[in-house]
Amino acid sequence: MNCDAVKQDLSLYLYGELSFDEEERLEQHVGECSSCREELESLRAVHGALDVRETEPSPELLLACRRELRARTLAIRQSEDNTVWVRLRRFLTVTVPSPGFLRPVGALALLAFGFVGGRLWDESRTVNEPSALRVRNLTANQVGGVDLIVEEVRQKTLTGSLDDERIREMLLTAAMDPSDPGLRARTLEVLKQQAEQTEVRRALLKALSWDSNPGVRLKAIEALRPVSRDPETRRVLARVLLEDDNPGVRTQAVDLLADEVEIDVIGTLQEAIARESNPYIRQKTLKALREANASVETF
Amino acid sequence: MPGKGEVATVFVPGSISNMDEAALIRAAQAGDQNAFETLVETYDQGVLRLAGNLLRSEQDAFDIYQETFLRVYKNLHNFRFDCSFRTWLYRIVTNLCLDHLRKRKVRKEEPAAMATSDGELDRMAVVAEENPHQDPQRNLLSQQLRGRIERVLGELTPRERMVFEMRHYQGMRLRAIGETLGTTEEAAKNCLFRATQKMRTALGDFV
Repeated sequence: MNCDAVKQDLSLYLYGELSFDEEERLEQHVGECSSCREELESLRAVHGALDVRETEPSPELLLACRRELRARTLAIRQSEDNTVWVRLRRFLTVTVPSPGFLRPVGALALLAFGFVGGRLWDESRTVNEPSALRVRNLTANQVGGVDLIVEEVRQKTLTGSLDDERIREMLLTAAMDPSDPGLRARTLEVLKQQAEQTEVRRALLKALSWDSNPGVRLKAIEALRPVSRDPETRRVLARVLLEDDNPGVRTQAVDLLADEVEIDVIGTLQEAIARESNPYIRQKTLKALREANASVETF
Repeated sequence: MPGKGEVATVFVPGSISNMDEAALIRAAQAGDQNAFETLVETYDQGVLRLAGNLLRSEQDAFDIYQETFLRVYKNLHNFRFDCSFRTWLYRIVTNLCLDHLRKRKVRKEEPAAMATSDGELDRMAVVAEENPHQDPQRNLLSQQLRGRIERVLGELTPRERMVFEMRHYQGMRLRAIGETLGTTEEAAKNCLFRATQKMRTALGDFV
């Protein structure tokens, strides 16, 4: 192996990208050649120097990215739902030419459909009048009139317990409604009753990590209290304590973590002391560490 | 959402196995927002770090993050498990970053560097260096070093810069880099070699 070939491979060697045999040959040459040895050391120093540049994204930036992404994806979802609705409406307004004698049959079928549909609907659910009509499209029709495609928003009261899968699914969707933080907060308050259920807990943890509204995050953390000893919940609480920009949320996080200070939490609490600027939260964190007979500093 | 009789799986970010990941992707493909967000949480730190290190601007990194994951969101139904999800994701983010770097080259702008009496300094590094407990002389030296590294990085071609970033700072293997960038391992190796040679020349007297 000559010096030129070795110098070509030195960088790959430092990155561990050479095969076993190539490494062997290179190491043997470097052991015998002072010029290549110097070159290797110099390159190693350059590699080390490059590490001064490496930067981790700040937790605040990461959180801002996640929250914006959630808002955008949920907005897409909402607009897709609307599109489906509009398409359905459009489909239903297509006029199919039909022989005149069949029209009464169609009307009768619609009546029957409405009657049966109404009977099938759970009687505990009250149907109110349409509360909003919005024109989405219009076309002039062949008989000189106009066909309007309207979006009709109806309000219904659905009554049921949280054990009802449909009710729970609607609540889990409402917990992510991008347009109304108040609704999200109220939903989490209701979901709290079932925090032990895996899918509810996941939704609460997601709200705590991703929701852009601190009031909603506070509701989420409050709802997680009954499951604060669950390992996944504790991991998220630790992250929240270190990264959330809202002191109220961080205070709640340290409270829940302090309920049972285990080894995995001690490191987080020590890191929180180093990072935390809020004296009240620092004091709470210190107290939790002292009660667990843990050191305040990391070594 | 899991239907009746199905067992819900708990996905812990950062610790999912390949099997869990496949289940997570399928759930996200079926419209499960929570599964999508868990998938994002698994990879987004790496994506943000790559974009931030390459573009040296928090705003640009934020924009690339949004664009990357929105593309994932809109196109996840097309993901057919022909490659790993990570490779698929990194193809998206590296293409977006390469486009950004190429546009920047055309506009001849390099927002990371700023001229000072001590030479060019890295804007992001200067912010990170505001530590009153550190030796000011050492601070200045490392700032100058960063400035010089940024200058060389700015002179690399976008492909050289991408390969260098992925190998040196992201720790990806050359084979995976080649696969992500749609090229061979050999081509990625050549890019890396050229990049490290330029670094070696520029930093030789500094170390």
